Amino acid sequence: MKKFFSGFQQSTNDLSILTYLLAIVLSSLIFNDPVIIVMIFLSLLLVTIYTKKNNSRNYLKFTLVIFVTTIIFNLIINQRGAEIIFQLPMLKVTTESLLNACILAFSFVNLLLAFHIYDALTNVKIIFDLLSRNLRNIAIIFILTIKFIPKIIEIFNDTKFLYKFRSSKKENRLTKQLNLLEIVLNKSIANFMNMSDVLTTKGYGKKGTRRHFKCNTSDYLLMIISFLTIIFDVVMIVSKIGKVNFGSSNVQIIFDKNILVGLINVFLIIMPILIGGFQYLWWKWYISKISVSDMPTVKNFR
Amino acid sequence: MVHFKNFSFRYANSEKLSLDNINLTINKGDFLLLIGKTGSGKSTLLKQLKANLVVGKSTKGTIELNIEDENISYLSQFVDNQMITECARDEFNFILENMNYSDNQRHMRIAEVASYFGIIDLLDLTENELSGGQKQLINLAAALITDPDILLLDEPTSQLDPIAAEKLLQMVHKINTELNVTVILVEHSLERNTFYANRMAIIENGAIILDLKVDLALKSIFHDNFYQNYLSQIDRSYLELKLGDVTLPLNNRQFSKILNDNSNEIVYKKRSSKQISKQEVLKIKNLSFRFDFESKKIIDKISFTLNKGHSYCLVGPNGVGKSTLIRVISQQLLQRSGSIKLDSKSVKNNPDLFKKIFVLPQNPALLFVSDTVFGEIKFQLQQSQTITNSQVDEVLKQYGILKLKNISPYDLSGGQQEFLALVIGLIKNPEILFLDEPTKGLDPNKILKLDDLLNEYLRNGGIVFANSHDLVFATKFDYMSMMFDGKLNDFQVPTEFFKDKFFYTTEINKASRDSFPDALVWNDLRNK
Repeated sequence: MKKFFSGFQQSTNDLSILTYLLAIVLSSLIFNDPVIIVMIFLSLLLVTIYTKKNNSRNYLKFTLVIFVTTIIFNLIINQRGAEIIFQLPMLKVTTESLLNACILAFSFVNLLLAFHIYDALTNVKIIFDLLSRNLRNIAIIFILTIKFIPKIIEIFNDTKFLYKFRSSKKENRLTKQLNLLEIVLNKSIANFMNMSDVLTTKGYGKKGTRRHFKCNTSDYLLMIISFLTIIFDVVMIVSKIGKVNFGSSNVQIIFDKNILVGLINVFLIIMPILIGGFQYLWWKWYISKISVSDMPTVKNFR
Repeated sequence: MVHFKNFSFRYANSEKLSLDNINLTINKGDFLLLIGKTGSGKSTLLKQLKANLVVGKSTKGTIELNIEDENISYLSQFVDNQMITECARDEFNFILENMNYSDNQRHMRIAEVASYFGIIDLLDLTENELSGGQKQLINLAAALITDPDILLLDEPTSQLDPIAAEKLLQMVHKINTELNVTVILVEHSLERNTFYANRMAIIENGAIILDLKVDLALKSIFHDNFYQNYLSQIDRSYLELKLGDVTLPLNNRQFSKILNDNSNEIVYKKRSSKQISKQEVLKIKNLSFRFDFESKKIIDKISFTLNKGHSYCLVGPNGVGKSTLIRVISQQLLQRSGSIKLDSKSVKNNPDLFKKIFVLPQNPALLFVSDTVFGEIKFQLQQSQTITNSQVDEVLKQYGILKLKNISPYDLSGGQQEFLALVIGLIKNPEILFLDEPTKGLDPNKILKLDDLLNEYLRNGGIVFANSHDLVFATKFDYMSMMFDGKLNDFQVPTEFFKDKFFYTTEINKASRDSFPDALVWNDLRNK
């Protein structure tokens, strides 16, 4: 998997990856047909493992908690349906309510996984570049937000902890919290000024050049498939395919055209694996064989 | 190249002049070392050359500057949060795109800079994966990627360990000599820097009071009781011992030869040993910590005891876990195993911990809670007694910070913030003071003042536990230890600790190890 992923990263540029990410976020957002969302879930899970980052395990744990919480919460608030599975005082679990809960939970989880893949594949610079082409002010807000949200959280946690060493008096919890917020705000402003200095020293604000992306076959392939899938998905939604009457008591699992919709989206989502796999096999079976070399590294690789 | 002519400047939020009638000329290829006490206006003067960095107005005079703003680069003392993007490659691209470089030019420039600085392997690492020294090297490379004519450096080594600091300064020297880039380096100490500069200036209360060639400047400040403390340990020792009139600065080899030639006239003044206290206050046993399950242990089965009335200092390179150890002891991070007992009670969920200890973090601004320095002191005093405004003024006067009373703590210079945070800690008078890099940004006289304050606190039964890169400051502690790979050596008295150190020791010790192996600082050597 590592080699596949490396092959994918080496053969695609930031622009095509961004198009792909846009397409998968859209796929996870717009459908709620149970068959499609489960197919999307499985493929997103596969790609999440494929693009594994250091914090993947914690993220997957967090995703599992969201999944279970959403199911329980939805089972409590939506108890519609006639086919009762079991009943407790104040709680009636029916096939329909369970299906509704699962649809919502999988939809949430799909979105979380899509953003995890987005986080693993993209970087701040590329988003900033794209935004700064026409929306320079928004680009600067974006970059400051990206830098500042974690910074403010860090300042808040540190300040809250260090305050204990300074204050020995008992304070009303609400007053203490308000004081703390004011202190953190003051510190954040000081930090913000420092970041503004950094931007100045790096020449931000001058009329710079636009970055040009050089695309190869893999990029064109990924972009074309992503665009076509976006168009396909929008057409399907307009034609009311891939949508169920969520929340109602007549929601059910049907195998129909939705299988095709699911398969096309699965194909899109696993594109990084297909491209990476193709690149790796192409190298393994063709390029490494024709590049004659006695270098130990080359020999070992073969 | 740059000419300050009767230049005065005032910050927008201040009524006081920060620069007063400055006259200074800087020529092409100069390496100017600018020193001054904490808050004297060093950084303000430096930032005048990068106009967007200062908010205020010139009240008198002019700056004649015959180069464009984009040909002046600035490197701040802050090592962290200097990268806008995720990795060095993106950062370089970001700067070059802003400066209108084409694809081809960007590619070539990044290749050149990465090779010159030896950072090819670091180009794609994120900020979290880089050490302090590597981050500052990348920041320096970013400052130079646009081929500037002037490089402005604002205490660039203040957050680095001695070895990383030396490497960075050598790189700056290389840039100055090989590329003829004009360098203006603001520092609060003369250790290491004087070898690379050709001129030295002193700024005091916003005015230039000395501007000479390095040799003359060093000899001149030796006769000034205040600025002689700025001299490097080697130069100070040489001048104090009156061993001749060679050109300064002296390197260790030259000083070692002079010492050997004059060893009959010099004696080593033995340090007085302190009586060992047996009163245990903090006991740490088999303490271990790691950030993630899969990561290596940053603290690995550490055990030690802190006794009443003693001071302890930890040294070691950046990123070995010195700060993490303080955070674990103070329970900001929870240990994975081992025990920490304060006055024989575990610190876990022990509310007394916060009353009995005080932590000065690496970023002292995190401690501040008020809008003014007066407010900070008042808040701390109010924790133990009812206090009047005149009593607060008395305390401010006692610590020499009365002039700063109405200033926001966030508007203070790095050194002033550090000192204010230390004063807050001393006012609290805890059982143990934990200090993370307490000399960061402090000028040598402020460090001496700090030393006096800490000694008084120790005499009253307090305990000081500090991390420091400043090896001269570390010699003033009762015990020292080195941290590396999560392990801690046994605490030893400084003379014992440095005896077998070859690289990680003071400059005096390196230079005098043949003739006076126990000497660590300039005043360990005296004339007979």
